[in-house]
Amino acid sequence: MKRLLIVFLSYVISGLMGGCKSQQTLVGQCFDKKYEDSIVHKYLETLAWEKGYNHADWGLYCDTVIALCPNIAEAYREKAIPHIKYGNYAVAMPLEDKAVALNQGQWLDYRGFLKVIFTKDYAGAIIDFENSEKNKPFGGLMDHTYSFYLALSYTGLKDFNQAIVHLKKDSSTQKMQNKKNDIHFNTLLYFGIAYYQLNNYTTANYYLAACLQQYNNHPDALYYIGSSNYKLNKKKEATTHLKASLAAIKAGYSMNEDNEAYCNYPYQIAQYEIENAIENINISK
Amino acid sequence: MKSKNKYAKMPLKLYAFFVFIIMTTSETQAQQYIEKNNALYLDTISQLPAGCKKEMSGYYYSLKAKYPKASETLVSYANDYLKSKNVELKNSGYITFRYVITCDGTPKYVELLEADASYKVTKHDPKLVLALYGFFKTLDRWRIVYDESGQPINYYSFISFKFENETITHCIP
Repeated sequence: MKRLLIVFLSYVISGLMGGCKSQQTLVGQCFDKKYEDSIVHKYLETLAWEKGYNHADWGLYCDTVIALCPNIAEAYREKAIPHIKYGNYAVAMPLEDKAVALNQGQWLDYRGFLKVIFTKDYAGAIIDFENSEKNKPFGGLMDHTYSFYLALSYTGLKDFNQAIVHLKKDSSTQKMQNKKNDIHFNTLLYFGIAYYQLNNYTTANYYLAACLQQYNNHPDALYYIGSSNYKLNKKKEATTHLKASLAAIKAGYSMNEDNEAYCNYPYQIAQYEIENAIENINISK
Repeated sequence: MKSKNKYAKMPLKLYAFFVFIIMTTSETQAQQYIEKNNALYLDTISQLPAGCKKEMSGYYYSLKAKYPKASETLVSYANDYLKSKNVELKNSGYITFRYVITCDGTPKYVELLEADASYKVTKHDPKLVLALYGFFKTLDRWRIVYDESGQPINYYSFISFKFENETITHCIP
């Protein structure tokens, strides 16, 4: 009986020690950048990306990386993609939170971006971008500065004065980074939208015209300049711009933002609004 | 002979009361949501409309098939609709419908997702859910998308209503 007990205890203790050893090895490996990169490359960049994020196996590959190294933020962020793009915020956002908790420097601004464009959590986005700005002054992502996304957030919250403050910061950062470049046409669009919403139609027209100088088929800029002219009682110019807006949107022109296919940007219009505006002018004639 | 039915000795009135509670509870749940594959649905179909292909052809975002009205317009209409139905918005959060736009441009097979403002799974007032579903059913401009051979296709789409401060604040996408 005693021998049996000794054998049993030896087995348990050796098992525990072995378990600890492998755990230590795993944790050690997971803090080795080369090992991290190798499993990200194998399971995410090769196997998962090959199948695409709407494939049933996508989550399994992400889970494999998480099982091997639960400290790899990218795996959580990747796992969230199909969910954020298909409206399942209760699944997506905790994964994004986990990615931020593991690597704030890399994923905080991205979470802010998702809150502005995808979940319309503008207050939450402002916090994320203000903190991102502290971590990376004059930083940006997806072709825009953090200030641009702060401006979009304030636009979404209907605080147009604050939106203008951040659009000015966005413009000055763009100029600071490259004096030769024009201010991004959608920075100019949102200046126009903010002034339009503040009933300052003359200034709105100034910015919208500047936007159209760069991108003359911008359907939103054409719509807002048309609507602004209507408010200024310039019905002929209003009709011209609104008809041009309708033609542009029918021809497939858009704001030209990568993520607009997934979600509308704040105050982005569609064909329905343009047709309505044209009809209103015709009725008021 | 003794009855094995444990309710046999229960007073008839009490028994009737329990039966009534069980029946009304299950009836209410059945009327509200349909549980299937660990998800809740507001509409299920066994077959796609005649003439539709059987397979799905992707998601609205790959097909440039967002609903063709601005989010701000939909928010305004949704709030008007809720007012007309005397439905109050008490909490905050998200109510999401995910569905298939069939080849004839109608949404079918509507799944329900609910989250609070912190993105945690929750249950919102069924009156609000059903009222928003009623509004959703008034949307009749879903894009009909055609494949390369000119055949109309079925695709996945969704709409989320974000609400706070007693109003719908955003429609997504």
